[in-house]
Amino acid sequence: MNYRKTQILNWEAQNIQRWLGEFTETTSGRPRRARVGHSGEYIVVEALPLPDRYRPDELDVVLLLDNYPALPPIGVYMLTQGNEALVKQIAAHFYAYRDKAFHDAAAVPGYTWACYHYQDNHMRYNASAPNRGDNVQKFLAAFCAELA
Amino acid sequence: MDAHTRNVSLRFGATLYERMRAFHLAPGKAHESLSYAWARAEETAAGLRILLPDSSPYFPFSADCFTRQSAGNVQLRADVLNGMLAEFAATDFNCIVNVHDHWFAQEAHFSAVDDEDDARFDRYLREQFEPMLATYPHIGPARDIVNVSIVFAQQSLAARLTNTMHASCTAASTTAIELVTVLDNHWRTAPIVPAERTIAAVANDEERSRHAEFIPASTVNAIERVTVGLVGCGGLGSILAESLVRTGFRKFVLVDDDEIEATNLNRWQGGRLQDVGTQKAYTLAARMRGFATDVQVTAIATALDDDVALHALTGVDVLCGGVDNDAARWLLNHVSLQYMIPWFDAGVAITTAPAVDFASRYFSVLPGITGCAMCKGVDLIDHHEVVDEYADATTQRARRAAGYVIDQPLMVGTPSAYLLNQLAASSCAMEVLNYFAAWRPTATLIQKSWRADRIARADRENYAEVPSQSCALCSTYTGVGSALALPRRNRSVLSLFTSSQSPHEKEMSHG
Repeated sequence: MNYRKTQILNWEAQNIQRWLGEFTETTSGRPRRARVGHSGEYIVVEALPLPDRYRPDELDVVLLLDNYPALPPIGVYMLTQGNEALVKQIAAHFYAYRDKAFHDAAAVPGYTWACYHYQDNHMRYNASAPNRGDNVQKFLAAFCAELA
Repeated sequence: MDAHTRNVSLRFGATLYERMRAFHLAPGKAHESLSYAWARAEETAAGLRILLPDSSPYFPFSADCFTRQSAGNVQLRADVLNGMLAEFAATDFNCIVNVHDHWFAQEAHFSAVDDEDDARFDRYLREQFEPMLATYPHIGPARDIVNVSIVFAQQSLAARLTNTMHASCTAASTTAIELVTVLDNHWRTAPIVPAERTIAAVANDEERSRHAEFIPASTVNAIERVTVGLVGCGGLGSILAESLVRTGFRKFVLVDDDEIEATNLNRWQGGRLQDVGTQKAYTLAARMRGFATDVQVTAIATALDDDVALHALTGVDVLCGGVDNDAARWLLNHVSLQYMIPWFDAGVAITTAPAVDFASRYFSVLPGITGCAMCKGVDLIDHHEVVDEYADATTQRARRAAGYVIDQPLMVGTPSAYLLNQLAASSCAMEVLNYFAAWRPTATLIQKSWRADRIARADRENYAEVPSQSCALCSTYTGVGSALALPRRNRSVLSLFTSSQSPHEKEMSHG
């Protein structure tokens, strides 16, 4: 695991956690959480708040950040299990691919990829003040806004 | 490699270098000063390279930080030193650079007192600091620390590595740093003691004699000493390589994983029928060795993102790109920034509509000085192509399935115009030479259109571009070396997750 990369993603996860804390509690009672994945190259978000018209109004997602911050996350991996109806609703907004293997590339089992591109994949990242530039929390906020 | 025979070089950002000099050699100064910087030490194919970008943490200590400060001696307060080391421990920097001055001297030399001080500090690092990091990982990552000392005098500096673990009865514990480069608008080395080795008898060498009339001896010496990393040995790269050798460059690393095909012979410089089927890198290297008696070429016939190729390239002094795709340029941009290597790129394009035009483009990236290829204010790299190439394999396929594909129907994919390649290679080689000779401001972008008969040239005088603060690459990656991994293509998405764990743990078990 890369120390500096983990430092960067730890900041992002904490920033997402702060943002999640601004929302009301989930109807299911599940806590909203963001954490860096074990390899230090992705962030897991549990109970991401969705606009009111979605039921349930929360979603678990994974953001792959292996090339972050050079490249933003490319799309969003949504946990499918237990969210089939929700994922179908979201698929109305984005191209979405469930459990699909793409030729020689394995799918992420149990996840549906939503084709969401933030700022046309151009991120203005500010290393000395990440909250001033584009960051993963803003990516997620824009994703949620797009669903509204 | 033994600590005493290894090749060690140091690479400064110009702003940091000038800041250090100004602090240590301020006019009217009458006492010795001490400062520290944190750096990255990288094992490259060319030896150990110390990277000191402008963003390096730098601590020029004021008078109240010392217990003693006189004309020829200075001692830092223990609490100040310990405070700095505690902060250092919590980072992933692996090199401490301590800097002091002999402001009263013209030429820099380490004194016997310096020897004692450096050895004492190094013993502390080896016997207490490193073991502490190994024992208490919550303080900071365990790592070997590279201990560098610099002494400034009015006309020169001396720099060395100290490692008392390598000391023996017969060998000293220090290694002199033989090359200090300052990344600036032109190639620049700091005057060091002992002086850089020079190439002897340049003027008498018949192979170089006609150059001596217009290329200064100092430039000849510099270009013969540096190693050029040439990526792309195709139609453009083969001309560029020959141009650089005949200009006077002597050391090269070539990278290309392609073979010469019959269809390449209409543009591959010097290509012959019997070369078809051979590796471009190997065949080009063999040709280059025949151009002059002392050409040294390392040929690597792998993809650019192969470990062997990348390791070799991190040790070069100058990068030249003759590639035909933006995914490779994006990776070169990373190598250039992360390892602080000036990069000069040549490219060509032929458009067929509305009318045929032959266009060539050159640009340079001087890390920390100019914008990188992503933030120059001109679209040099197709971002969509980069995203497509460097996404993990699953995401890449999903994007393509969703209709995100690169399509440039009006461009000829691989222009087979030898004459156009000559134009682009010539322009690039000229600018590389100018970077060393400093005849005119270094060009940062040149675009030529044959049809419009137009040449647009931006340089360090007429267009003062700087790295963008909002550029993810410039702000995050400049001078970080291997502290951040270079991007890789075709990564399996599953490789990002540990084998037994899933993003949401148990939820993955059904898959």
